[in-house]
Amino acid sequence: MVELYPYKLVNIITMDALQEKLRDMFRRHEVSGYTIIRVRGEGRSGESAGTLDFETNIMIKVILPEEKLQRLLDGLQRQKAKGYHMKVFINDIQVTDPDKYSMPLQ
Amino acid sequence: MSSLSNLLVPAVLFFALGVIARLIKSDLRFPPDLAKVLSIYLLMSIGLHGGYELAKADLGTAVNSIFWALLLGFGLPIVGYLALLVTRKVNPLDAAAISAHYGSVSAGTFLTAIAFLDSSGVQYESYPLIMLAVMESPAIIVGLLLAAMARKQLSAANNGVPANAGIADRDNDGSSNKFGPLLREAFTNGSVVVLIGSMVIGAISQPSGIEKLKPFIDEIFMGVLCLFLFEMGMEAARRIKEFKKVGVHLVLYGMLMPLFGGVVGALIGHYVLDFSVGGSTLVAVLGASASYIAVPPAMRLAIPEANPSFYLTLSLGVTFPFNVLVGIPLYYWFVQYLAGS
Repeated sequence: MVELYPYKLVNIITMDALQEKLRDMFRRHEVSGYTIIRVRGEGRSGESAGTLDFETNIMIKVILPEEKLQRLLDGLQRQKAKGYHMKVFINDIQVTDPDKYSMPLQ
Repeated sequence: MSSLSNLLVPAVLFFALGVIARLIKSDLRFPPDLAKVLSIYLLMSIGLHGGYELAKADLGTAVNSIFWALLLGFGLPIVGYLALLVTRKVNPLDAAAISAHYGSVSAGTFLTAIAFLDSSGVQYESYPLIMLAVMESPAIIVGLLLAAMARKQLSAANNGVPANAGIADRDNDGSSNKFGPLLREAFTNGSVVVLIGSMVIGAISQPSGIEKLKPFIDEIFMGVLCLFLFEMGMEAARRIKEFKKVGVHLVLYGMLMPLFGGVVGALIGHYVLDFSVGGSTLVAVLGASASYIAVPPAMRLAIPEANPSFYLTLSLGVTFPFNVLVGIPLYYWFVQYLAGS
C-alpha cells in the first residue's frame, strides 16, 4: 500500500504581469516548484478574457509542507497590501513523494 | 477624403463589425492569443518596411523626428495628468496611470491611419514610424515618476504614513521593487523589441532579401490588419459596459485628450518637421493615440493602487474607437487645412 503524507496546496490567481515577481518570491521562500496555468474569468476587478497581455490571468499552484505555508502567505499578503489583485486559497492535500517537495528550487 | 469615406475603408469596417458582433451578443470568438500573434506580425511587417525605407532617408530629419517624438512622449502625459487633477474626478495615482497611456502610442491606430492614407492614395514619409517606436516608452517613465510624486503627496497628507508600499520602496521580504526593473521593462517590452528589431533588420538587409519578403510584409498586410481590427472592435465594445463606472467626465477626457494630442502632433508634423500632409497626419495620430498594449501591463505592475477599469476603458473603449472612426479623418482634415492656409 502506498503511504500518503499531508501537505498544503496554495492556489494563487493573479495577473500574468506579476509572474516574475512571484517566481522570485517562491525561490526566496525555498518552495520546491510551482505550476502555472492560464485562466479566464470575471470578478470584482472586471473580466479577464486573456485577449491581450494586460488582461491575461494565471493560476499558480504550489505544493509545500505546512511549516513553510505561513511565511509564503505573509509574503503574498504584502503584495496584496500594495494593491495587486490576487486571490489565494489553500487546499489540504496528500502526496505520495514528500521528498519531491522538500528540495528548494535552484 | 470625407469622414464618410474613411468609414468605408475595409479595416475600419471590420472594426465596426467587431463592435456590432459584440453588441448583438454574437457567439463569435477568436482563438486565444490570435490578437497577440497578429500584433507581432503587424509590428514586424511595418518595422521591416519602415527600416528599409529609413535606410535611404536623411539622418538629420530622422534625428529631428526622434527629438520631437521624445518631447511628445514626455510632455503629453504631464499635460494629461494636470488636466485630470483639475477635473478632481480621480485620485493622483489613477491620474498618473491614465495619463501614461496618452503619452504612449497605439500601433493599431497608427496602422489604421496608414490604411486610411493608402486607400486615398496619400503619400507619407517613413519618419513617423521611427517616432512610433520611440514614443512607446517615455510615457511609462513619466507615469512612474508622477505616481512616485503622488505617493509622496498622499504620504504627507497622511502625516508621514506611506500610501501603500510604493514602487521605490523595498519589500519587507527582501525583494527589490525599485525603478530599475520597471524602467528595463519600459524599454524591453515586446512591442519595442519587435518594432526596433525589425526596423534594424529592414535597414541592414540586402534589398533583394526584402524583395522576397514582399508577399509577407506587403500583400497580406491589409488583410491581417482587418482581422486584427475585427477582434479589437469586439474588445473595444466589451468595454462599453464600463462607461457608467468611469463616468461622463472621464469618457469626455478620452475624447478631448486625443484631440489635443492630435492638434499638437499635426502642428509639429507640419510646421516643425515640415512633413507632407500624409506624414503630418501620422504624427497627429501618434499624438492622439493612447496605448493599450505596452502601457497597461506596465501600469498594473508599477501602480497597483490605480484602478485598471479607468485606464483600460479610456484607452481601449473610448480613445481607440474615437480615433479610428472620427479622429483620423479629423486630423487629416486639420493637416490639409494647415497645408492650405
